[in-house]
Amino acid sequence: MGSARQRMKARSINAEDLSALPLLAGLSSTARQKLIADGRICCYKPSEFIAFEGDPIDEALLLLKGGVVVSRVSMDGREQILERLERGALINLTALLTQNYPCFTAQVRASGQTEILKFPIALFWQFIRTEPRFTQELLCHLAGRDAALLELAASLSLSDVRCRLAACLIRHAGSNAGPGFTQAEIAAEIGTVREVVARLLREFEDQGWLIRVHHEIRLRDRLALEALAGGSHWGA
Amino acid sequence: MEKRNGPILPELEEAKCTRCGACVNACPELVVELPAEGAVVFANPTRCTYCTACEEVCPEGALHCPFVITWDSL
Repeated sequence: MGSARQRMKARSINAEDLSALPLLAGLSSTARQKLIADGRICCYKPSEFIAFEGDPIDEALLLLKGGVVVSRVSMDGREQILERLERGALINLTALLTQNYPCFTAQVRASGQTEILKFPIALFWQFIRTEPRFTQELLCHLAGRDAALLELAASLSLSDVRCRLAACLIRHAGSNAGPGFTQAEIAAEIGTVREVVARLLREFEDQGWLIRVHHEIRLRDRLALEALAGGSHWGA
Repeated sequence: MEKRNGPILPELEEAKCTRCGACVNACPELVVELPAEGAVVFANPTRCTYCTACEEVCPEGALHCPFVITWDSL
């Protein structure tokens, strides 16, 4: 599998790109100018791969617009979504901090029209040393990511698939991010296969908990779904 | 989900379509047709019920049926 980095389009950075992102909001003007000078913005189409597992890491990747899905794929092709990251996330944060992983340990793909600010790892470390608000925001961001992964691990280990599906539906209900969710994507998120999701959606519909209207899944019984999701440890 | 004029249809990645015809055979509403050349087309788009049968049978993963998840206002 080849590197994903050859296909994206790039554009220059302007000051507006850096505004309103919590991670960058506290940067000094000098640091901002350095980021504009040394960074670049890469644009990706929905479902386009940003990195494959095994690609070398030589830049910090900050999500400016859109969203990304971080996942791993088993040898038999089954996908497990590990994270859905939104605007402001530093995608490869763990690898940058530990420095033990010179390559991506999971694949990353755009979930919608996505823009990523890429800047040198040396600049990332310079900000950590000299920009206290950047470092503080980074720690908050890291804690949030760590908590989400902990919940995912607990959910996959301790909750059954019906609970995980209910929690997943509640989590994404009303979300305007991205192009929607296929049954395969829902399966990849809750650790099962598409056929199980299709069967459970029919079962939930038979129970009156949801109704499918063309391309919409409308959740109807909040109490029942929340009670079921209560058995889940992820985002319920 | 991208807003477009007309009915929402399954998303087709034309580059992945091998013209195997599995989706044509699976579609219960005869929405999908195989033209003389190129990828399959949604010839009768208004009849699509979004049943996901085409997505299910496509061996190349060329068809996608993303769902929007909402709370029912009723």
